Amino acid sequence: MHKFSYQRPTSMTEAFSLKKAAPENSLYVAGGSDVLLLLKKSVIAPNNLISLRALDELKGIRETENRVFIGSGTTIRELETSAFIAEKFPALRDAAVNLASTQIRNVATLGGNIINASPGADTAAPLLIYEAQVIIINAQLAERTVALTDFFKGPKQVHLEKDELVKGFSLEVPPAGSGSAYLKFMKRKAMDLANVGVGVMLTLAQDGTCTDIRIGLATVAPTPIRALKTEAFLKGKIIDEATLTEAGEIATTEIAPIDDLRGKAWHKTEVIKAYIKRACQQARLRSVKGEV
Amino acid sequence: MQQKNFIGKRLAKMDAPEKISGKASYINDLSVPNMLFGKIKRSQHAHAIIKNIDISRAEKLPGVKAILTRDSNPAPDFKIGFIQDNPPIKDDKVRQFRDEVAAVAATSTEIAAAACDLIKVEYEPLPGVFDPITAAAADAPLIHEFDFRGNPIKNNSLPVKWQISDGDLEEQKKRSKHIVSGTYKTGWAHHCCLGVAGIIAEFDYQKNLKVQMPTQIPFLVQNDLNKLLLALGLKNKNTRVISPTIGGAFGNKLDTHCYEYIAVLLAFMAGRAVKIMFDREEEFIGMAPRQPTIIKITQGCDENGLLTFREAEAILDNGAYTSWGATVPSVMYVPMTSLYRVPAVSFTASCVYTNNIFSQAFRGYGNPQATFAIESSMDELAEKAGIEPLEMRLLNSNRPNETTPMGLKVTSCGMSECIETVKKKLDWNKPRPKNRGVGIATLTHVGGGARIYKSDGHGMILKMDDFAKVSIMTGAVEIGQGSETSIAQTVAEIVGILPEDITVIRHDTATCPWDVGTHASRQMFLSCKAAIRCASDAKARILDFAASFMEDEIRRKNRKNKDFADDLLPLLHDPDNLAIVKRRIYLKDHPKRSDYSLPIDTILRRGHFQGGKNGDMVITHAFYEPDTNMMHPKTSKGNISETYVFAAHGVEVEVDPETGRVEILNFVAAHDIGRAINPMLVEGQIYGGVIQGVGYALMEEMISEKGKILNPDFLDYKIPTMMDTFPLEIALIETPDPHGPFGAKGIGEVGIIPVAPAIANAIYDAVGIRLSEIPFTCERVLAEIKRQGQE
Repeated sequence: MHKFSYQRPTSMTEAFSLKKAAPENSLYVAGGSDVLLLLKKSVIAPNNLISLRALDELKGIRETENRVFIGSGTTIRELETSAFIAEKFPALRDAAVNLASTQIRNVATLGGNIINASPGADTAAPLLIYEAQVIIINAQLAERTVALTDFFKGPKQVHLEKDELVKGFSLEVPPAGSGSAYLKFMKRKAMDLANVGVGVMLTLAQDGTCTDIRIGLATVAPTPIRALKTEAFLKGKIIDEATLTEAGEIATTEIAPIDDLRGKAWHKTEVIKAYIKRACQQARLRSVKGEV
Repeated sequence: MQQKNFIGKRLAKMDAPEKISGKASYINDLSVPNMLFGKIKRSQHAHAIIKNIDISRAEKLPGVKAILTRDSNPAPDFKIGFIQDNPPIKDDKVRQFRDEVAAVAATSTEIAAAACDLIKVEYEPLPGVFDPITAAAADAPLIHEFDFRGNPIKNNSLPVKWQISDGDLEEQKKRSKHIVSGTYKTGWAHHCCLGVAGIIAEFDYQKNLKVQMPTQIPFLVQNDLNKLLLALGLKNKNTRVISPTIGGAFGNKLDTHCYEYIAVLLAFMAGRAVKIMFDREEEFIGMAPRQPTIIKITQGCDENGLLTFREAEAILDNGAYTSWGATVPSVMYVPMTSLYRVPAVSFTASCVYTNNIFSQAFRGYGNPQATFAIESSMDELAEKAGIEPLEMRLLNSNRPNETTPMGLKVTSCGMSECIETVKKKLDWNKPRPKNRGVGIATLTHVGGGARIYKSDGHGMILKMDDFAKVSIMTGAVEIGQGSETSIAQTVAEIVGILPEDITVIRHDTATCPWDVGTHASRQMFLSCKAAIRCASDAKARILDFAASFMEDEIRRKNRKNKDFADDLLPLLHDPDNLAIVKRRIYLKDHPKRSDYSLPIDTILRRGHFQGGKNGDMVITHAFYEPDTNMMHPKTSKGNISETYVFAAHGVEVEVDPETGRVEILNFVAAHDIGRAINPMLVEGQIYGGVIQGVGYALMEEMISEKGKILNPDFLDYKIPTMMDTFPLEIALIETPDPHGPFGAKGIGEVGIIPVAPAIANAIYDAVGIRLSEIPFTCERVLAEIKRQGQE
């Protein structure tokens, strides 16, 4: 493996200045679970790794008015075990529980999972359905905010400048009476990447009419996406089997899956149809149970 | 069955504490002073002429101590493989991406890898062939132009003929009421040993070689590497093979591999020890997997459902070179001729060179592929005959004391009991909801050795020390199956000591007697047969000592005992009156007379220390060669094993018709094992085999594109995790075998064999689709469901 130095700044200022000292040869690393794979395969060969693990600014899960801040350095394991996340953002917990192994979840971070920008990033679809805003901080410690939908540029690419870091994510708290879920289709039951991922948040009126719905999809487009046409179709409808089957068909018109080692496009399309339906049913069940 | 102290007991594996605590040393953990690190440069083409190899930049790299290429190879004519077609360092051509073109020994792995990158190889690409049917065509590009004798080769089919038949096939076809035909395909599956391959090779100053490497066949490695020493001009030199703890084998370590020869060549060139250690990717591409097969099978039965004939033809993708994979049809013979009672059989197989990865032994050795075809076809035949599939199998079940069309002499056989057990435990005939179904498949396999080599023997030495502790020097290799523990149980049982009194010394050709290798489910069977002899002789020797010295020692023991009655003293002089239980020697007919009992070590020391004369110790040995035959060179028939095992697997599945996912709900594995020496170890072997079989059936697949393996890692080659397990009930059917040690039969491999067809049959029962290709991925299942829906 390529040799590199490892630095562990304790303040944002220090983190930015270390990067500035060698901008081309340095790489920020949070949990390292993606970075290490690339290093081992010589896909990247940075001379310095700058760890973000000691930065308190990137940590924590906090409520702010109607929204919730989740620091980019929050580990997947923290998301998995947080009672607050389980209560408010169950789809995010679904994603965390099924991401890799406990060992990986202990180090992997939410920020890392999003910035790595895999089309199949497990936490992306849940963040999309919770209308996540990305909070970005630059070397001058100035902050800007961008919607997650606009943050993804392409496979493994995000809109982030060289002197910027992702500080965290601001999520909208789902309205009372809503339910949400994330379903992941894998080749086996654990330690696998998503073959297809579907996140759904919906709100139902007393008569069962869908008053609000958001659908996030992973692994079926160059980036994680919102299924806006499908959402529009379902909004205002009674969520029954026939409607969901039709919704699945509509969803297939707004995805662009590719053939790869993990699955053929036609199969991913079939799974999307089934999983849109099942994720909606799971979300509805949770809304009825009042689990949010 | 006679009550035993240790046989049949659930003793924990002797090596378990070391392994689970991480204390055991694997090849990764080993080093020798001053050793170098080797790296191999592999081909960039599936098929190409090597035009030039330029090492000028690599050899200038500081730290590089030796570079091996065809130009510097000190054993240029040396080849390995079943038909000697594989030069460890490639010469004129590369025939696969995995091909070893150059190797470097350097002071660090990083330097060796950097030097490999600096070696420039010029190729002239040749057209490749990537499937055995195209490769067998007359106009296909030749993969090997000459055989090992230098004679020209005309086509890519291997010059080894596999053919076996028995009975009047045409006559049986005529009297068949129902006939079914089908073609079944299997793909590449990898052993996925958690312990990857590696070796440390070093020469001493007398030019004798010592290698440390995980292997199932230390004595065949010695033989193979001694041939390399001769090729290096080193006459009358020897190889000592030592194997560290082995992190999984499954057939992966049943042959010598190019990297091992390369390490020896580099050590020879550099004059220093060389270690080569694979990473996971190299393990996938640099070792040899289970081969793909295409099996066309036709079976018939009469109006009562009794089988009339079985005719099958197999084509095996051999890959670019031969290892044991090229001999896999020999084991396919067993199920093809002998699974169920079939009056007429005919089976032929051909192995064809391709530019794909070459193949090696893998648990079951062709039997899983053959059984997939036979047992899928059995279900089709049952349906055509209108007979319930499980009942069809009961009708045709093998029986005890019969000779099969191959000439296999079945002794004990509990196949019908196995099938009945599956029926009962799965509640076979109960109505099941939509998309759920049950399937069954059976197996037969060798269970008492397998004579595929000129000796199928096992050597063992037993020595007892002054403290009555026993060392067993055995040719057995411990690959996780528990042979050490079963040997210790056997010796303790017979001698009358405890298993913890026994240390098993193994994996060293210099100290242990010969054994052909741990394969073919043979190790426990043969080791325990030898252990019974060693231990019986040792016990006789101890009792001989006792007969000589016991009176004297008993008198000494009781000299202050006023109540001692000396009336039994004369009995002590006859060994037949003595028994050993839990380390103590007693008078057999007076077990409660503790005044007449002594610990064995007292007697052993008395035998050893006799005041300078006539001292002796208990040292015994045995070489057990099973009473079996090689397959006849012309007919391929012969009783290759002392006994055979049988089993039935039943599985209940649920198929998701929207995604194609197959969920296993319940699994019953009923095995005729003769007798369990250690039921926990037997169950462990079967658990492992079944889970490995489920991986093979549902998800494991090396994906190859024009000879290149696209998923050489655990990211994209998926094996089942703990989360993928399911309720698995194992039923041990005991049919004490007349030849087996304590009645036991070998079961190391067999858990994997019928899993895929049992699942395929259950899928058929659940959703009505017949899957003819392994693995049954979600995609294959859903595609078949959709195809059928359109029909």
